[in-house]
Amino acid sequence: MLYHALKALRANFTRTVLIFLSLSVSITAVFLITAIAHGIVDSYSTILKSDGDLIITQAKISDTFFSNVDTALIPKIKKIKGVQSVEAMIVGASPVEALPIVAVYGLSKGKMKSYKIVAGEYPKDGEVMLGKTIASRVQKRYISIGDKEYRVSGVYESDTGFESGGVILTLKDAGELFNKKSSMLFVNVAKNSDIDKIIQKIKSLSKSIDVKTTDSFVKNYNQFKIITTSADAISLIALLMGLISIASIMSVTILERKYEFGILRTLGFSRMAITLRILVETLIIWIVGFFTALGVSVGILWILKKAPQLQGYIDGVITLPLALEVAVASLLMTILGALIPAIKASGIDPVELINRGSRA
Amino acid sequence: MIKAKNIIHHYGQDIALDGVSLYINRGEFVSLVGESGSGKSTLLSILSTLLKPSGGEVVIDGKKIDEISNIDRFRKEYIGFVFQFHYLIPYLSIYENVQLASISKNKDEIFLLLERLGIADIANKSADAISGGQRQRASIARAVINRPKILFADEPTGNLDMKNSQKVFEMLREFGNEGMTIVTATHDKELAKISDRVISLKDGQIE
Ligand SMILES: Nc1ncnc2c1ncn2[C@@H]1O[C@H](COP(=O)(O)OP(=O)(O)OP(=O)(O)O)[C@@H](O)[C@H]1O
Ligand SMILES: [Mg+2]
Repeated sequence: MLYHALKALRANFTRTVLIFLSLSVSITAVFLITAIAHGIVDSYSTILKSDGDLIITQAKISDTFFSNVDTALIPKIKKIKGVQSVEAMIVGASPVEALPIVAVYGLSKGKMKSYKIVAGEYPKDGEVMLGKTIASRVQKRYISIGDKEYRVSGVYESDTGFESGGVILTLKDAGELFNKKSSMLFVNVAKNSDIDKIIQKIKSLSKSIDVKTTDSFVKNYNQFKIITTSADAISLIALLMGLISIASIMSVTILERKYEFGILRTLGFSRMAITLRILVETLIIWIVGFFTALGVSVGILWILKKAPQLQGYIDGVITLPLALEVAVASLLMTILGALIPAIKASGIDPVELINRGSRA
Repeated sequence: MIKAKNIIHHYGQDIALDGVSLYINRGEFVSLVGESGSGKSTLLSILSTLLKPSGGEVVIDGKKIDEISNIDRFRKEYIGFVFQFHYLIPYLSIYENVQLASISKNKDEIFLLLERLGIADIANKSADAISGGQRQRASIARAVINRPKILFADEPTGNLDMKNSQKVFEMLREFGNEGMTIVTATHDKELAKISDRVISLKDGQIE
């Protein structure tokens, strides 16, 4: 059956190629959109998770970009029992030299220490530390951020594209640039302390803040949900498009090959057997299409990651679970797309083979 | 072998068969003849399980057709079909076409049959690459590879010249002599003379 399927695929070369293309294009689309979306979410959550057990943001804010938390709270929080340290961070984005948009981080001293220096030293007020990716693009001793000049103090390295493609200022400088005290505070608590109690105590300090454990913050962060939901929706559309193309190409072929299936019926092949023959043909294309899409996607992601224009912000990785998920989803798409034409083919009435003579 | 009782068939308003009863013996070679539109193909389709009649009953080898539970298996074991067009699967070789139909898949058996029909030397060619007469012989090989009890052939020589038509009927004659029941429909009254019995149809009835 496999041998016949391969021969049939070769004989119907054009439609084989068409199905292969629609399959691999839609699978590639799913891989890319999902990997990139997860890449964005993962990078940003790594930044958030890397430090601190609790995150304090402005209450009822949809995006950390808009969050403003008063740093005057820091000494008060430090006094709470079980709190070990409190660090502040500003996240923003601004033009840097000729680059239209670059992530800018303002960090308190303690937070700064978690970034690995590869050259120079940590920035003081009036100075900036460049992420490795940015440093390779802007080789200057002084750079402009927004409308101000800063002296370059050093270069740091990070695994996440968001960070190595960004720049770091002191909390004070970033505060002036973005006109806020801090975007969020990170609180480290002692082991075995009562987290819920600490959260309650911090909350009681101000009505305009929201306190969450880092994990629950990342889980409930609205932007992440928007990104992943959009990615899922686009993936679904891509899969549906694939399904529709497979179904329509298959329908045409089945019409073209209707006598082939009719003769199988006269030879005693069951409807099931004929349906299966067609499914096997499509599944062969799926296997080739899936791995092609996987390869192409890995290639495109690699190029995107390396593309200097993107500053490494797009850092999508195709993990094994993702590959498996897409494999299952696209397999389902292929089977569904082929099933209806296949069932139709198996239902071709062999009486059609009788020549209608003069009626034709 | 085949018993048809008062077969009636209409396509919409058109009456194609109007009360046909017949009995065909085991090993008999029967030709259905008649003018175009007389109902030959319709009758053949009904006798061969491909078409369900509007009325009447067909019994094959003691089994009522509408009561056969597994029609696929029944066709595989009982019936061979030859049509006016060969319907060989174009992407398979002649050998593979016959093998596809074969239950035993026995290579020697297939080649013996191809040899007998004079097409063993083209076994590896595809249907596009051989002559019309060879194609029709290949489709006969496919139809008889499982030694069916009955072979139905609707206008098997419709696309062939005189010489090839003659050959095809002679081959059918041989299979008939070996005990296979043969039912063909044909325009050609001369060719039909090779068979044991000629049944003449006119306006959906036996003349
Ligand atoms: N599928 C169909 N739909 C409607 N009418 C049909 C159909 N098939 C056959 N008929 C009609 O039924 C009648 C018998 O047709 P049939 O094909 O059985 O004749 P035939 O003897 O085989 O003719 P020919 O020698 O031209 O093959 C004709 O009047 C024909 O027009
Ligand atoms: Mg006819």
